[in-house]
Amino acid sequence: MTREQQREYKRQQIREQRRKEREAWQAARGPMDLPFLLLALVLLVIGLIMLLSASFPSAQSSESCGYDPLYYFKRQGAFALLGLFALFWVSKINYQRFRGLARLAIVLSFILLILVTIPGIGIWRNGARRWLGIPGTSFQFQPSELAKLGIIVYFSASIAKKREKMLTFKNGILPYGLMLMAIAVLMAMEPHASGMVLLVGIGAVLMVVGGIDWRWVAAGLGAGAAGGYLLLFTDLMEKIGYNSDRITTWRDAFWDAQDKSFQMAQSLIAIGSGGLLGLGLGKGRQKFMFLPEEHNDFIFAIVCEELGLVGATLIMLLFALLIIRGYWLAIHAKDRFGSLLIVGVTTQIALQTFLNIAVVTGLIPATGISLPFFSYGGTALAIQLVEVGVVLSVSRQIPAPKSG
Amino acid sequence: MAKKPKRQPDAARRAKLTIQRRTMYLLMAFGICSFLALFAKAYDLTINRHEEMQERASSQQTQSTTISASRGTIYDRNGDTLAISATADTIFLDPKMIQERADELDKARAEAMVEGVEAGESLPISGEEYKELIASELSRILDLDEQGILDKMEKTWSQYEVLKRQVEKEIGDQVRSFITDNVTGKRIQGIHLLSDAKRYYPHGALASHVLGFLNKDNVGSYGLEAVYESELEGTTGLVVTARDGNNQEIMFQYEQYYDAKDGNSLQLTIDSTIQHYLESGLEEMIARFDASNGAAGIVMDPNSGAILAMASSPNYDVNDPWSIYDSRLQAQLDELLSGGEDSEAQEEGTAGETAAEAGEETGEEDAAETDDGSGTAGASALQEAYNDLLGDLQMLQWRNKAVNDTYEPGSTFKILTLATALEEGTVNLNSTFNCTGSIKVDGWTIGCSKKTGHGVQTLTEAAGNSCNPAFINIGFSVGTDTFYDYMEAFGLFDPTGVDLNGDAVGVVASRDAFTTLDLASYSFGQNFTVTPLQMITAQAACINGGYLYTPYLVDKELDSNGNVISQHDATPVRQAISAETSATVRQILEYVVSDGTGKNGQVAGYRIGGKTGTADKRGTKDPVTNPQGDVVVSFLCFAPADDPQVIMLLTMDTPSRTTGTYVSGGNMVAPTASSIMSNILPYLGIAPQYTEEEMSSADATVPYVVGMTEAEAAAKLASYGFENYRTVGDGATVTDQTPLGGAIVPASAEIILYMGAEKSTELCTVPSLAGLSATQANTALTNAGLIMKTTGAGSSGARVISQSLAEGAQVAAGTVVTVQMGEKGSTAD
Repeated sequence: MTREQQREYKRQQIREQRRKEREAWQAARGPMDLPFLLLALVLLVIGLIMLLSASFPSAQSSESCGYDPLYYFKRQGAFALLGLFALFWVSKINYQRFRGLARLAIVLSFILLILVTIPGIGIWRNGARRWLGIPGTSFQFQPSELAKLGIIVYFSASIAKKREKMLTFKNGILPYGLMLMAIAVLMAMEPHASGMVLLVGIGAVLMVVGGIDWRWVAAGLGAGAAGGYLLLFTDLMEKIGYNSDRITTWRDAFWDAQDKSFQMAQSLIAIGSGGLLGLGLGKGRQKFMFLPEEHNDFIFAIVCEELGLVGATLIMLLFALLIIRGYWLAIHAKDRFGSLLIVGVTTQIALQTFLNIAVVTGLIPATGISLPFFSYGGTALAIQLVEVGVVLSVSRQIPAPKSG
Repeated sequence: MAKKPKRQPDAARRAKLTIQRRTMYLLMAFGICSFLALFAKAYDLTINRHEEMQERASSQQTQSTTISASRGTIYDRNGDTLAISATADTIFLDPKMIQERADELDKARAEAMVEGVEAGESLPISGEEYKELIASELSRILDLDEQGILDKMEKTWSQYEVLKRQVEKEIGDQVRSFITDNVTGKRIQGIHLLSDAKRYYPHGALASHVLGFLNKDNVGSYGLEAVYESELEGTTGLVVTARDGNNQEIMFQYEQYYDAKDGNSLQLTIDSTIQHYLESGLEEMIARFDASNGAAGIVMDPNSGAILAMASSPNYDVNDPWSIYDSRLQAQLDELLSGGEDSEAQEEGTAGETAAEAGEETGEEDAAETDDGSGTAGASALQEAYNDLLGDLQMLQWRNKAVNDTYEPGSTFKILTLATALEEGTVNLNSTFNCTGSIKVDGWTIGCSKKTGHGVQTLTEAAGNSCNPAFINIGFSVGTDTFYDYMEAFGLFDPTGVDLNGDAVGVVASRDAFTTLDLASYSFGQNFTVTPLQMITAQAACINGGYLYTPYLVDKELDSNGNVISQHDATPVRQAISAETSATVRQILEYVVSDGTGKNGQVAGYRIGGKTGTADKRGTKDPVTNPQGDVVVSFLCFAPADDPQVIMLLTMDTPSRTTGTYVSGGNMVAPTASSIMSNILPYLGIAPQYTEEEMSSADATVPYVVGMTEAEAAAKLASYGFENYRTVGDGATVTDQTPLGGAIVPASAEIILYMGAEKSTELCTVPSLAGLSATQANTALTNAGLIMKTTGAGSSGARVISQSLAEGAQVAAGTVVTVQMGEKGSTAD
């Protein structure tokens, strides 16, 4: 090889490099997925309207809200705007750069999750320590919301590198399993059962999709099914002296409708009284001090009451389409990292949506899981929108379908 | 894009495929399956369980307040109120809450004792003092036993102990003000009031059997209150408001009103004045003849069937129908109690009120009164027997004998036999009947009341004599079939159709079984039964021109604004006999009163027609204890005889045979009928037409003559019809007079003019008049300084059979004493 040739080869290599960079740059500037964006925006708008409808009675009669019927709506709206800016900003970022942030994200998540369990730092509310406040401001957030993003990014980046090594116990199960167990322990310390379910669930789904051995999947599903069966369909819990009102309520929501099963009873009354077409937007009655958490975890009951089965089904359909579109984008993503990122985000939305509606309708025993885009909660909403931004960012690099 | 296919390493491609495949599974699980499950659940709730949830939702989201409708008022024909509703309160305790409050007070007191009390402040009262305060105040307001209230407070497991039901609103308000404003300075917890409508019957016992009463739930359970329940009760209104979980009204949410509609009012045909005359007449008659099974009376307008008065005895006060009022019935209760444990009977037995209360309590609450230890098995058995008897006696006093009970009419039925035969033309005024004292029918001998026989009589005389053999022949002249047809036409086989419950029908032989022997006994009113109302309805048809009317009590139904909603249509059911026959019957019946067995039913100044009756009660004869058997005596009369405006039937069940009066309708009932009629007829504005002889004793108004000279006064008195006067004192002018000017007294009365002398304040003693003739009685009364007024038989043989003021009574000079004249020697009817 002559020097000339060598120089030429080097130049070629540099050109190749630049071309690659240019390509990557151009790929990152490709069009984002409009269907996914639109579905998310439609759900956000409907969610805000429903939040207004559900929350104004309690807001206008609550001193802490200053008797302002728009209190919750205004705050949620502000976070939605903030979240939308974040969404578009994140969607412009080349998601490959998230790989480098993965380690930082997971470490930060752990730090925050540990901080929140420390009395004096974590804010004690309703029998649990789930909130962190930023000193000097009234701003509060749940570290578990951030941790969801942390896990998604870290697991995606890490799993994407491993390929068939995921099949082994040492590489595919052990590190992630330990991490999830640590998270589970931290969540149990808050305590925060629903957060635990979601974080572990997202992590587990990413492990499964990432390619762990099916036997582990089967074992996990089997253990879950057996546990669920013992918990829900036998009196094992009673026998070992654990009296769970939640299970009793799940079996009969009206067993103590004045007290212990009040919330579930009120939820079912709201949903059932809505009927096929509902009472009409804004005309619900259950939000008038009957249904607790009506603007929060139980907002879907108000949706059913006011919009009926038809409206509720429409909203569920929008969620389903968003989720299907998300997974479709994951399947078509340019690389494994992108696929896993979308799977993580979509799974989070899917899990929360399913668990929330299942709880509200009494399909499963109650846990406090919020409904994406609907439930009141600023941080959660903003982070959801950021996550949508992540999905859109990945969607930009999906190669256009080949013709023919 | 012509790009060099970039070949990925195998491992990377496989890994990506794995991700893609597994994401596909996720898509199906989370994007489709989970939503199908959620949809199924939502469908189940919103569609399948919609009704259930809807119901639960409205029961918690809405608050309905009932607006009670006011029950309609019942008026008599002149607009006098007979029954009216007003608000009343039921007061009850919540012993549980009182105990909680008392405990709180004790606690506060204990704390205050430990911490010491600041100057000017006193210790809070103790729980015991709190209870005593409540008990003493309530016992004062409600007129209850204080210890009884304290005992109820001890039932701390209970939250509902009724203290007093249906107290008047003023008393309820006193309790209310005690609750909010009292010495503790705090609201008293645990006393509750429940507002409710209470029915008032301003006339008490008047027309009780017609009006009936309401049960504890304010639903009409007897009389017109029951029959017209749906018209009277009205419709309860409802306000439905939305409420939130804190029980606050949601303002902008729906609100629905269902207006309360007050009940309609009833205007009766009953005239409370006539009702009063009838009831006091019956009362007096029963007392005089010691009738053991009560009496009944009906006053009716024969030309429409409108019932002007209807009474039954024993009577009761409708305001408290559960107490026993009749002394004869009360005696039965007393006897039962004294037969049981004497000491206890003494304690609780005597007052009728206690009895009624005991009955009420066991009626609605379980007899849980025996837990204080003293209640033994014997006492509870006695209590049970007592309650059973009380129940029976209540039923007895609530019975309207005029409508619910049947009796053998006896001779008053002869009116119908007479009308039938006259209408059929088988007899006429010229027919004659020979009575030998008895008659043989199908081998049976039926005797006449006059054993020696009445001899040959005209039809009119036969009726006047109430001759059984003659009437048997009259019946025979018609024949069984035709006779039976007429009984049917007179409505004796059907309920009268009156607007009362229990419109009974008597026991009558069926047409197939109606034999000649039956005809014989039916002809004079024996061997079958009817109700008094059936009887008077048929008899009215006999004298009103032949029309059978449906008797009725409610003339008009008025809405709450007084508009007439419906009016009774007095169309006759049918014409049973012709007007001519009816006129003949009237003529004959007038003879019965003027010259026959009904002489005691005469009323001075009026033409009265009537018929007496004395009927054996079947199955009451007992050779040892009751050889003569029990009878029902009765009297039917109407006036004026030529144009009847009012007809009245009185019956008395089982009068005593030991009163000294021969047991017959003519002797016992007719005088009472006369006395009642003498009040009713002038009241109805039917002008009396006195004969010369009667004129002297007819009523006149005493003129005011004070200030006149004796001559002027005498002239004035004479011009008013008063011929007799005497003076006291020797002044020139009249300074006072007895009776006072304006008083209505018989014109035969002696007026006392005081000429300067002080009017005697000395009371006069009523003399005994029994058995005296009218002249003798007048002399006796005038000597005593009293004035006589007569009613009843005006014949020379008439003697005083009763007087309105008892012998020995001390009354002011010039008081009018009404004496009932009658012919003691009258033969049986």
